[in-house]
Amino acid sequence: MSAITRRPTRLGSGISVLVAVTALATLLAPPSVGTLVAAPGVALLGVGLLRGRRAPVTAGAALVFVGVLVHATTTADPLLPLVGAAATVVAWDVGEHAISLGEQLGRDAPTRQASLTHAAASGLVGLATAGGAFVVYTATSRGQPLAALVLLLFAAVVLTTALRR
Amino acid sequence: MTDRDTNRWRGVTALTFAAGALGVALQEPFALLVGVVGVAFAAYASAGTAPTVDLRVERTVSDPRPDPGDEVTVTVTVTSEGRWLPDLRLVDGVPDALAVVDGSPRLGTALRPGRRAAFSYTVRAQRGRHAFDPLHVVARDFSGASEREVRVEAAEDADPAIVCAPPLTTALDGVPLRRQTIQHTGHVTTDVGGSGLEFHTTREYRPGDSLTRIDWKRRAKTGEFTTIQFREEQAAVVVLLVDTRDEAYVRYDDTSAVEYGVRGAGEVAAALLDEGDSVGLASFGPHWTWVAPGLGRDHRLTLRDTLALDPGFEPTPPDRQFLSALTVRRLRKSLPGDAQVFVFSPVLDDDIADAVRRLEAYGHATTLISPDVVTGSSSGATVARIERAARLRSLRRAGVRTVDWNPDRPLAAALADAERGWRR
Repeated sequence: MSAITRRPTRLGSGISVLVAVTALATLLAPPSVGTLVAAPGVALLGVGLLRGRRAPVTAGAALVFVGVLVHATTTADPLLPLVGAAATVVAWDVGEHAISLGEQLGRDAPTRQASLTHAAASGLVGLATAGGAFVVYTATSRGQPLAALVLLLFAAVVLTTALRR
Repeated sequence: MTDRDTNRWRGVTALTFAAGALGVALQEPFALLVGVVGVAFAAYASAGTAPTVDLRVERTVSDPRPDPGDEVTVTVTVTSEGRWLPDLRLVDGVPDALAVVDGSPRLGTALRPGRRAAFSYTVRAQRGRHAFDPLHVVARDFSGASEREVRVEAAEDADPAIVCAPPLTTALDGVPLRRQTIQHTGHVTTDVGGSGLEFHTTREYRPGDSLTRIDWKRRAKTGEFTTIQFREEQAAVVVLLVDTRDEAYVRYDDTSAVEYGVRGAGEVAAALLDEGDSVGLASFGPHWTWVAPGLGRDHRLTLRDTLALDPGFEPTPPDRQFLSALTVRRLRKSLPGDAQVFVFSPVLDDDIADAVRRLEAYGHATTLISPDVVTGSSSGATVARIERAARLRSLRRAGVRTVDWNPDRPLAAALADAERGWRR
């Protein structure tokens, strides 16, 4: 048992695929062209995690994100696309984390705590983002043009980031 | 300590641009809104800094003094004494010579301040003193965007080494020694009559002969005084020389030739000490180790500990340079004039063959015990095998006794076979 099994951790891969499927699920009511774009993305992400390769995971997540964007142009309510986009990023984050844990520690090492903490943090950020964006949108959408509002949101986030440095 | 950006979030702003482009091009505000997600995660990624690692590491082993082959469970406990460490990757510094047979010496965890985490694994003990290397730690922040890599020594009071010193035991029923001249009672039988056990000759009584050796029966029969002479038995002085150069760390069946040499030397040492011979020990390698010949229980322990733990006989190849001529000179200086030498070497190069030949030429009766560790059917292995056979032949011609030892068989069998050859 001298060789390390350098494959992505099971828990992280499982969470990643589950979250990716959730992202896909947000595009089902009702299905659109975006759903058709996103579905193979989820499959690609799953294959990437099985193989332990980063490129397919990233490509798959990108495809799902494009699907979410396309789908967002067809809906009347931004909540589901926001959740879908956040879930896509979380799925990629947890998946990549599982791959890196697998590379550094191997599948035989206990990594549960690290996977769970990372997934929880990522999930919280995703939820807060989607929720926050939706709340700001609903609270202020009357009157102002949405583009101005979104740019304002961008500016606020970018500014905070810049100030933190 | 190294701080690094992992760059794993590098592409995330692209999501925002994609959303922005699509939103503006199609005049779809919702697509634009989705782009906020990208900005938020980019902010999340750049918010963290590499965490300060302040860990207390404690290591325990189930048995600090195991026998070779025993399984030892190592448990490592880490306690966070500083900030929250949300992504902590630990790899223990398992000693090079020990193989992990169960569990994993790695852990991925998250630690809040004051909390502890533990992991354990099992190694198979091997001869030698095995100290652990520092724990290798990689700590990332929440988003995993930056990481810090450090090595943390275990706390001084919780960093045991695994010390594995097998007792000197032997399955040998005596060791065939070469003849020599030296005046101690022991087990080299000589052709000289004197005091001993085995009858040799009788001769005329000379004043000063011991009363116990007078043949009283003949005195009673004939009235003459005669003295019985026994075959004199002498103790030998034997120095065991183990080849520990880089060249000797050739593996056979997962065990290096040095290991076979050390085991063989242990067996021979035990057998000789049991017979009352005086045994010394030297390492023919970059770490010069010398134990002068001696007798007795303390000396036996010294030999055991030296063979098991001395850096001269380390189970992993040395990283120092070896100077053959210097070592031979040192050896000559240290060897008592009447010492026999037992060399343990796979004889895979000419240097050691040369050294053995020189020892014999300097007047030290030399016996070479050579574990045959060349395996495989590659052309390289074939050449090595042929060269080794040629070296053994030429040493035999030079008067050195050679024992070709197949490590699958006990040393006793190899010695018995070789002895049959010498008698012929």
